[in-house]
Amino acid sequence: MSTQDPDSEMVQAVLDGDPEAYRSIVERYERRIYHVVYGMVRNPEDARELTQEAFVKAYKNLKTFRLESKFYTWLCRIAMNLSIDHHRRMKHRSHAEYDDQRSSGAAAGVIELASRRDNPQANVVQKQLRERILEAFDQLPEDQRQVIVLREIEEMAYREIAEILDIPEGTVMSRLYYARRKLQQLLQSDAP
Amino acid sequence: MTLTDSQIRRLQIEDGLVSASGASEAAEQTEDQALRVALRASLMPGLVPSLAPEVMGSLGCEALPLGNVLRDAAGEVGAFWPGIAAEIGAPVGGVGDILREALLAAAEEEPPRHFNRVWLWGSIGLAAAAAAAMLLINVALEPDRVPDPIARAVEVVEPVVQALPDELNLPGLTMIEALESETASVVQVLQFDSEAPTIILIDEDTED
Repeated sequence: MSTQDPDSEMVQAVLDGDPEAYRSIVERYERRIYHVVYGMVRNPEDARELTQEAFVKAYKNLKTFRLESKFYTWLCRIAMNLSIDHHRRMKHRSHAEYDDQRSSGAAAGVIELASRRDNPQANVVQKQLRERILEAFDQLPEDQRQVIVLREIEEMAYREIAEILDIPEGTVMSRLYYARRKLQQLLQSDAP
Repeated sequence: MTLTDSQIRRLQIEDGLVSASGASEAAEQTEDQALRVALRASLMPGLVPSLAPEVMGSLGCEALPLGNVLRDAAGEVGAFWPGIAAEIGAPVGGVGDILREALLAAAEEEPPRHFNRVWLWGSIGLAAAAAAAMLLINVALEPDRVPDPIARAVEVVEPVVQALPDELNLPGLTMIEALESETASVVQVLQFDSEAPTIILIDEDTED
């Protein structure tokens, strides 16, 4: 006997003609998908738009989803692909403008984080550290940034990352390992 | 690039999948995990917006209480009903009042929840069909009061039902495909999906 997971049941309900069931799916995953997208684009407005787009695209393609698969994995793959397309499009359009947008988005996050602390000196240090980390992160190849986001933000297992990116598990481990070493190297060489 | 055994071990220690053994591995683990913590903090967004209302809105599910929508729908029925009745010189009562009362009663009883535009469009389509049906009933009962009843009915109903989608910003187009009847009639409202036009078929009832 097999029992469907709650996601599959909700997806089936949508497919059976109850679009309201999709609201539960959106509410369940909007936070996680936004985290992933933000990790890739690091601009709040872009992340918001792309997250919405991912949910809408998933809805429109729901008939192609295989119910025996994990819905979140499928949704995350859509969101990741949209983020990559967006990143490439923006990079192609204007390097300088896109970098400025991402910096201002990151700065907004830093200000917000800093406002939660009482120690101004610690805030400055934290802000500097964050900027250095993000600069180093931006120097990683796209495929390495993907695995970092999925592993560090979503805390996904290697196997799950492999499913989302459609690559072997060994490749996930390799990309993750070299991404981290590269980051350490960049941060050490950049140390004051 | 394939990882060596020592690289795999370092990765697994870093991810907490196996334990470090010895001072060297422990020191490396501390450094590696510090990077992970800092990286996670740097990549996380500040506030996460609630996106469900916008997503559902773009999919055609409005974030409005159902009761309000029902009242709106009843209002629309009420607004165009007297116009139709006046055009053919018929009383406002009958099917129109029944429909309006039913919508208002449902609005009272329904707890606030979200609704689907398709549902609303269906109710408007039914209202339009009921309007057309009432026209036919009235002209059948009092044919002398309407010189060309069928043509008049089409004239009256068609602009009303075609204006509704624009006013309510609903998808689809209403088309009256057929409106032919003498006495007893069959009314069918067809809409195959939210993007498709609503088709109202009114025909003679051939069954005895």
